[in-house]
Amino acid sequence: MKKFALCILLAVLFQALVIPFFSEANYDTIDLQNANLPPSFSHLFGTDDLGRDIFIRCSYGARISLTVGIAAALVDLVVGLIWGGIAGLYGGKVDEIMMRGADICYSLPYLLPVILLTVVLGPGLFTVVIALTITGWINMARVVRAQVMQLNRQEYVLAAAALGASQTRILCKHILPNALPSIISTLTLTIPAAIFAEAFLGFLGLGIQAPAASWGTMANEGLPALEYYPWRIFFPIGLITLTILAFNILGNCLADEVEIL
Amino acid sequence: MSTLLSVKNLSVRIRSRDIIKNISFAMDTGECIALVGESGSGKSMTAHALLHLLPDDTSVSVEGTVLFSGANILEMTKSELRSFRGKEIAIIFQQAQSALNPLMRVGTQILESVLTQNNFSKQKGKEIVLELLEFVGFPQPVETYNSYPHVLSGGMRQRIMIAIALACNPKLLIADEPTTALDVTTQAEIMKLIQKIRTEKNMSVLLITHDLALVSGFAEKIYVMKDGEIVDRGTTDYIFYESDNSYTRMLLAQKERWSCNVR
Amino acid sequence: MSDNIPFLKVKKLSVRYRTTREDFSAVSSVSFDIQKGKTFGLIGESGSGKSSVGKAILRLIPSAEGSVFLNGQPVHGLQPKNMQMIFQNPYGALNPRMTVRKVLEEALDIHALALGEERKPAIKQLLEYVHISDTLLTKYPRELSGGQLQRIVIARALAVEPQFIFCDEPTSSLDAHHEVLIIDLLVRLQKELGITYLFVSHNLPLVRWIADEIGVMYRGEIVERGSSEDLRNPKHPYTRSLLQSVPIADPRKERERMRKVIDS
Repeated sequence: MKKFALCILLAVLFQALVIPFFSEANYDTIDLQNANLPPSFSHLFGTDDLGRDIFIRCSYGARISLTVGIAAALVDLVVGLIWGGIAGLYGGKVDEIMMRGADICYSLPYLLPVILLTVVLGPGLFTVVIALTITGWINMARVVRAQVMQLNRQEYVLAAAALGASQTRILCKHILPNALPSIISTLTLTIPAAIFAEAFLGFLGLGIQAPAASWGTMANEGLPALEYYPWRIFFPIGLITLTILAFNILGNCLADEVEIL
Repeated sequence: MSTLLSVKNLSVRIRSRDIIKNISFAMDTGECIALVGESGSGKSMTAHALLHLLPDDTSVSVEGTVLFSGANILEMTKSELRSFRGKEIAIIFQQAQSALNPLMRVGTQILESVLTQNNFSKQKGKEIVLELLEFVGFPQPVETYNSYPHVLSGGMRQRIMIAIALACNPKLLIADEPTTALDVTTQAEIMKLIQKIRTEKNMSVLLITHDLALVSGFAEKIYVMKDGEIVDRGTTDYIFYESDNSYTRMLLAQKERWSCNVR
Repeated sequence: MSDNIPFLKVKKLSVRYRTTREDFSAVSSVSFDIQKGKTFGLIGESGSGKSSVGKAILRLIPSAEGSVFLNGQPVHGLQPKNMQMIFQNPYGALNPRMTVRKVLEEALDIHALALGEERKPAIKQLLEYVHISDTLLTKYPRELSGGQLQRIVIARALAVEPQFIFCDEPTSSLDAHHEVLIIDLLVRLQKELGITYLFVSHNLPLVRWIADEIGVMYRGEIVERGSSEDLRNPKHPYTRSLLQSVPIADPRKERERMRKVIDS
């Protein structure tokens, strides 16, 4: 299973990083003569209504989706680690305040702040990443907090304290390593969520602006032509699905392995 | 005094490993016998096998006969077993405390047991439950009836499990490590209750434990198990005072290890 | 000659657990002394507070009240180089992601002991104390048995050369065979290194065997104390019921005892 997932991810990565260097065409190279062509040897995924090669656009889209997915997940990780870690370690009032704050954030209707951000910061890659992290960190924070609280009660933590270990040492050498399986598992499941969220935003028209393409915006553009030129929506969506699937499989496999360690 | 339970040539194989190797023992009505062995000796597995509780799949093979009042338990059909278990033989397991449903009041759980095997009305059933609660040592049966498991201590929960087992007035009570994880004072109380069950309800008891000392005052006959076999058997006095069996002597020596005051 | 300043003096130790739902006194004003190189046994059942007493002495419970004196000096905070503890569950007491070597090294690193060239012989010495082969240094806790793990726990405690060790039911999770080995080890270490023990257990015969003086704990208080001999004829009703509850491996005596109980 894991090899399957890794293959897919490597293929997507390859497409994202390597292909664009080897093509003469760019993602915005317009060729009206060859608009709406079905997949062929010269255009592997066909062309869209402006004659742009969809395979190339998907490659650039892959860059966007992967960047956004990983960036958002990393921000979630950092914020979640700090927030959840502090809440878990201190407990009591601090924990109450921090987690109730997180709950409030969680209950915000997600699209509202996203639209607001788009208005304030203007559309673009940066805005999308920030928008995705508004609520994404909460899940990680909850997982970290639960792990920290549970591990803090372990006897080997008490033993370390009795030996005179500092809080920092306990956190770094005893708590975090043992919280790793849960954190990695949550992280690798955050990435596909972020990729999907970005695609969703793109599909709605918020996020990356034309002529740049992400898989989501390409799906948006391809929707009206679904009946006649289905490849225009099929390939971006297919790539979204495969990538998310691969990350999910990888995440589960990793979590199992780190657990056994 | 007739034979209540007769186990002949009982063998259990799980995935081509012999867990229980050809054991035989018998019990008369009104007797209390003990199966004693360390963990891994197969004693708990014996209790499961006796009641035909082992899964019926290809990895498990059970041979031999288990006659209870003449009927072979191992040959009973599923429906026969359902009306048999609880009514004729009842069993309380290790860690019985965690076998209680945390979301149900304990009285209701005992009531369930009463009504499953009998056709009493709910009212009559409840009366029986309250009587049982008093019998097992709860001075305020109504209050206990309405309590949830988490407010009760480990010893109290074990008493509830015993009440559930007694609910249908079985002829034989099998107690599988009934006092593990209990404090020594609670342990003594539970053993006293088991003795009370013997004398007042005239029930036969099969005790399964790793603690020889625990059964020294209760059991009439003891069977010592090791690695799936019965390696020593006899009356309690014989086992403790006369037996030359090296394994039995080792178990006894272990029990005595802190009794001499020489440091 | 020994002057009468006790090595460890515990005075009016109290531990209360205050949550929003309950206010519970785990330990109520417990006092006792232990002479150097001796063992004080604390016998009690679950909930009696005996574990909390030891943790409070080690200053692992910040909210504990009362005073603790080591060699006449007041103990205000953690004193890891003087007081250590060993635990009931050896599997839980070791970080599952640390090898045996890392466990022992951490203890030495925290206090910068046995640096550089002295490290290897120091670790070797610790292993020798507890009779563990150095082939086990690279193993993780899950690869070892309960008995071996408990020795590692003891070795870790010894690494900082403590004068006092709180033994919190160290053999309750072990089978009879390993229990004997660990107790033998603890007794030998006391003879060789002169360590003072607070030995806590619910196993009455064991505590009577190992302790020089015993305190019986019930609901947070010491209800009776004395030597092993004194406790043959206990005065407090709880101690008496405790003694009566321990099953004896002697059928005649047990039957006699049960007869007496029924008659009374």
